[in-house]
Amino acid sequence: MRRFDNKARIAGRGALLLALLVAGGCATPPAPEPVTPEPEVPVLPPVAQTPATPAPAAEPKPVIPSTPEPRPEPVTILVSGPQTAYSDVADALLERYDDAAIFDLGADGAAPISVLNRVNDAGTSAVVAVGLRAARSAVAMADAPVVFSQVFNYREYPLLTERTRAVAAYAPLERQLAEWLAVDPAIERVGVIIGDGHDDLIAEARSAAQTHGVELLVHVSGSDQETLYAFRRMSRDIDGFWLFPDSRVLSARSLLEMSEIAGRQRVRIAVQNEGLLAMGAALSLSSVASDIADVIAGIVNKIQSGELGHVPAVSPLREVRVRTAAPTLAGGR
Amino acid sequence: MKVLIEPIRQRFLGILARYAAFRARRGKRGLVNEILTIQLVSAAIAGSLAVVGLYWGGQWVLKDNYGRWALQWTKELNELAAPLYLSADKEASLRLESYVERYPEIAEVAYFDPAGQLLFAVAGESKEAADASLPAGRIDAARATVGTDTPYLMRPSFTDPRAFEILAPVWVESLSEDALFGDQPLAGENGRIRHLGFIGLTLDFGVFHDRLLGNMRDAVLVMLVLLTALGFWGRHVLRRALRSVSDLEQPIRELALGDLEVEFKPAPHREISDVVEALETTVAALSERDARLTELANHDSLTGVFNRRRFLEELKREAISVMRHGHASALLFIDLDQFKYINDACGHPAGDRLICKVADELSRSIGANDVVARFGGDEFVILARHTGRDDAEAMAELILNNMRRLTHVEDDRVFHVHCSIGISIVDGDNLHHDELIQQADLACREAKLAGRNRFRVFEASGTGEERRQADVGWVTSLRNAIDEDRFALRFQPINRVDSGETAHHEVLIRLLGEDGSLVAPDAFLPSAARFGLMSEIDFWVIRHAAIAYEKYATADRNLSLSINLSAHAFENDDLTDYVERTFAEHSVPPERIIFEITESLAIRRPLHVDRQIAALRKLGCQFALDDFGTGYSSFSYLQKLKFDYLKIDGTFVRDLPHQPVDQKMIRLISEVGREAGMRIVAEYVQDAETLTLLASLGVDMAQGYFVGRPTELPVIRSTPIALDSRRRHHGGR
Repeated sequence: MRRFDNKARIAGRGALLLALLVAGGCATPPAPEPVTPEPEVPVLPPVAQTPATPAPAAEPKPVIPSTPEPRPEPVTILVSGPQTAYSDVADALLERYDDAAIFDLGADGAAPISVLNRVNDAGTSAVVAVGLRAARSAVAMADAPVVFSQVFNYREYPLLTERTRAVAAYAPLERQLAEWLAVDPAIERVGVIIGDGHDDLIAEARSAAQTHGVELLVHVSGSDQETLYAFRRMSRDIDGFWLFPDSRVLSARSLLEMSEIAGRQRVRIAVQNEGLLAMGAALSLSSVASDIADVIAGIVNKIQSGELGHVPAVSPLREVRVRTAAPTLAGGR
Repeated sequence: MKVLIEPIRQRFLGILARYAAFRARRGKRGLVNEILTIQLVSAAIAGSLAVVGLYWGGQWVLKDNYGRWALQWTKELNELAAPLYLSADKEASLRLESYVERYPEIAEVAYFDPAGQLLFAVAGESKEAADASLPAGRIDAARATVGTDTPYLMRPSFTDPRAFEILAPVWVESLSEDALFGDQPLAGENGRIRHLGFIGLTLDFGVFHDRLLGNMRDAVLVMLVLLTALGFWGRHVLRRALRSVSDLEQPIRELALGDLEVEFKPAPHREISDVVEALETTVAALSERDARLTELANHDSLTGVFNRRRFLEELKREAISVMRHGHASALLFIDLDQFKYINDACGHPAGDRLICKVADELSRSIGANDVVARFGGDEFVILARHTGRDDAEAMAELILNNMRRLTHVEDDRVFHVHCSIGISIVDGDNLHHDELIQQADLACREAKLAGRNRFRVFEASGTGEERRQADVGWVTSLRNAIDEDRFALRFQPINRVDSGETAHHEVLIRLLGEDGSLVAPDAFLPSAARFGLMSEIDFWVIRHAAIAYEKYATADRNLSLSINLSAHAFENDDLTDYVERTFAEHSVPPERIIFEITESLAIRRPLHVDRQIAALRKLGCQFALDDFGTGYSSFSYLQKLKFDYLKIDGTFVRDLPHQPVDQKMIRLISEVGREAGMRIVAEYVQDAETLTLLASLGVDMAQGYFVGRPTELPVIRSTPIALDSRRRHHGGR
């Protein structure tokens, strides 16, 4: 069983793989490792959908239960980089697929085309891509179906095809809002500024707000300047701001200024990444790596069982991890 | 045109004339105005510097604020403009216009595409049209500011310092694709920048600038008002402070006019008080000096009684009083008898002491309203007010008696000093002070002629009057003679006794009478001395002797002349210069001239006489001691006095053959004189016997009718050695 407990181990393995790839590229390609057939994993039931779960991009076909098949080819994991948000998911996946091959595209010399050629040559039942870079590479070059996660703007490129499925890049919004209100019950008006193409997210957020009796103000922005302008105006009317990781309409400058404005206007900011707590956010409502891995595993199972058509284009997550700026309020679920 | 200009010209000239008159009247600057001007000018300079500093500081603050506001507006306009570039948001332009309207300082906002072409413009109050495109240089410069701390270009307007032009790039940024999934999402995040275009912003801070100028104008006005008020107040204060100085003006003017009774007001300030104190000290010193000068001007320095000048004033005043009130007063002229003897015998200090004693005695002898004065060396006068002839005679008698009792002791010798008194009566017919004095003087001389130690009252008729008239006549004649050069010189030879040859000639003066006759000096010299004409006569003799020498020296190369000089000649400080100048003018060798001075003058020898004798000696002139034997005749003086000749007075010679004492005296004088290096001359040699006798007594030279009479020319005449002739002649001067 090959398993990485942390980023360093992922990086080390990536470097080793890169060395092998370089050596193989220069001479004859190395012979694929013999794959040991494993018993087929039973297909998990579909993940429960949230009320505002967006419709899949492709028309998924109903999943038809099939008879047990021989153990499928192992899963290949592509990681965009060494960030914890990616490595934690990779580690969680490795706990589920001990024979999975894992590639870190953030390592030196790990050119996506080389990696994907290697993956295709070795044969795999599914490629799990963690992060945008890995997802874009896998969707473009992988021969096997692709399941990607930790990608927020997947429609921007686009990544959803008949052979690809996505896992939501954020924890379920209804759960997020519930946790937020648990921490800060005084929240009544929450603002959201996000780029275009996130109608499903907006719908889910509105639903969550309605569920919890919170007024939601939404502005669709086209740039960081506009986001900043909208936030400046919005900040006078809200007491909480839900920051989603839409990098298209955010910049470091706008984030810092928004934080400053929020501090002046006493607006509490909820973020999706614990790393943003240092910026001045009140709390983070992030996804849980094991939850992501579970959702991916379910999708992979469907793929391996030939039921890709039954998998929604985007599978929602189920858990949320809460961290607050105040240590006493920190906690996880 | 001339009609229009002429009145203006006249008016201008009038102003100039008034100003010139004002300057001439005022003359000098006023202290108050000058101090005030200095203060106000200093305050104005300080105020001006403060205003300039205020303006500069205000401008600096404003400019700093302009920059801050520009940055803020640029950022906000950047935010507002981004949707316009990205999504053509209609509301965005409305928001933009609304934003611009909120700030009147924003004159114009223009948006340009990345190539610098104008997309649209929003004008504020200025409504100015924006340029259609941006210069390439500005585009590059503005683009370079993207992402910096000052993301704009700002430049002041050249035409209006209150306006600023700002060009700022419009751009958007975004984070890298998965930045927000990172562990430290913003650390080292460069993001992606997308340049959208430019904002051109024209700012006009004229409102603030005008407000600043308005405030400064108000400040200047307030300062001017304060300066004006300060000027009036300062003038008032300075005037009050300097009033004590002004108060000094009138007393000082009075002091300058000689009023020593002036009083100064006490000054409240220390400095002025010191000046007042100094002025008071000055006044005290001036008063003291004035009193001293008055004392010196009115009193005789030796005796302390009134002097001649003051006495004459008193006499004039009394004459007026007599004329007004009709009373009579008396003038007593007092001359000490034989005072010269005491003076010569015991010296001048003794004479001075005696004079003082006489003055005291006279002062005690007069009434409280009477005045005594010293009129000359041993002459006193008394003005006895309200005194008729009888009282005057009684007073004279009293004075004579007192003087008779007066004794004076000098060197254990007792002297009795008597006096002669002449009286003139001041009454309605006799009021002229000169005449009164002449009358009293004549009366005094009559008293002396009558035997001294008595008084005489001037009688307006008789011989006294004739004599007075004669005296007055001499003065007139002498004055005319001097003015008309009516004197003549005669030359009497002085021959050597041993050889009979002429050694030199004594120059003698004669007055040419109206009828052409020659008047001997005994007749006019006393009057000349009395009326102060002797000095002029001496100078006349010197000049004409020089002329004669020049004339006759060609015939007699050994010609030498002796000239008599009176004491009056030495009163003139120009004597030496005159002699030197005259001799040089007429080519007279000074060594050919012998000046004769009397024994009394030689013995007294006041300092100025001594100095002039030394100066004449230095020229080469010789000196002869004249009339030796008639006065003090101290042999001890012969050693001290440096004379070349000693002339024995004629009284020793006149009856020499029959006077053995005189013979012994002449022998003695001759021996002593020769021992002192002098040659001995005997006067009044009338005959051969005397001459022979003189030769045996050691006399070197002889003068007299036997030797030669005075002649018109300096004739060389040898004296016969055979001394059997018995001629008798009068010697003379």
